[in-house]
Amino acid sequence: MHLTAEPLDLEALLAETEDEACGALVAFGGTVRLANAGKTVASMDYSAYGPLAARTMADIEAETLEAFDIRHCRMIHRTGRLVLGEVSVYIVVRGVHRAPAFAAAEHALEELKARVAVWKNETYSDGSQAYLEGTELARPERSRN
Amino acid sequence: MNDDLANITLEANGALIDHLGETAEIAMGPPYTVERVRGVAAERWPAAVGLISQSACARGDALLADDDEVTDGETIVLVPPVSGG
Repeated sequence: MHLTAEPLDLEALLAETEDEACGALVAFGGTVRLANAGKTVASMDYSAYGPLAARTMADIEAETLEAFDIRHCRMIHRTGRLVLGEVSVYIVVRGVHRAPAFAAAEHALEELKARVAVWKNETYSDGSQAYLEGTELARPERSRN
Repeated sequence: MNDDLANITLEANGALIDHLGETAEIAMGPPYTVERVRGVAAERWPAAVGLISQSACARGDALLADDDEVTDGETIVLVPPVSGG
C-alpha cells in the first residue's frame, strides 16, 4: 500500500522492512507545518490520482533500491484533510551502513515530491485556501504501458 | 452529432478541479491525440490555459505521450504540476 486516508502507521513500515542484516535504519516523516509563504496554515488537504501515484511510488522504491547500497525502501503518503503536526508522508530505508541509507532516503523523498501525483491545498487561518505550486511532470516521448 | 467527433471524458486533479469540476466532457475532431485533448481543453477553459499546458495526461496508471491516440468514449486524466510530500 502506498496511499491511505488513514493516519500513517510507521510501526507497520518498520515491521515490514525488519532485517537483521541491516545496521542502519532511516525514517523520514513529513508533517503539516504552521506557516507557509508568510501565511498561517490551519490545515492541509492532500489529494491524489491513485493509480498513477501508487505506480510511481513503487517505481521510486525500486529505482532507489537499484541506485543505492541499501536493502529496503518503502514510502507511504496520506490523503485527505490533515491538521498541523500530522504526518503526511513516511520514507523508510534500511541498509547495512548509514551513509547510503541517508542518501537513499533523501533521494526517494525528492523523487516523490517531483514525480508523484499528489496535490496540497492549504487552508489558512483567515479561511482562504490555495493549491501549492508544484512540479510539472516530464511527459514521456512514448507512452509507458 | 458529427461522426468525426470523439467524445472524451476529462478527469481533473488538483487546482484544475476549480476550473473543470472533477470530470468534464469534450468533443474533438482530428487529430485524435493527447496533444489535441490538451488544446481543446485550453480553448474550453481559457482561465486555466496555463495550468492545462503544464499538465501531463494519463490513462489508468500510465502517463501518455503527446502523440498518443485517444479514442471515442474514453477517459483521459489531467495531471497538473504535483506538490506531494
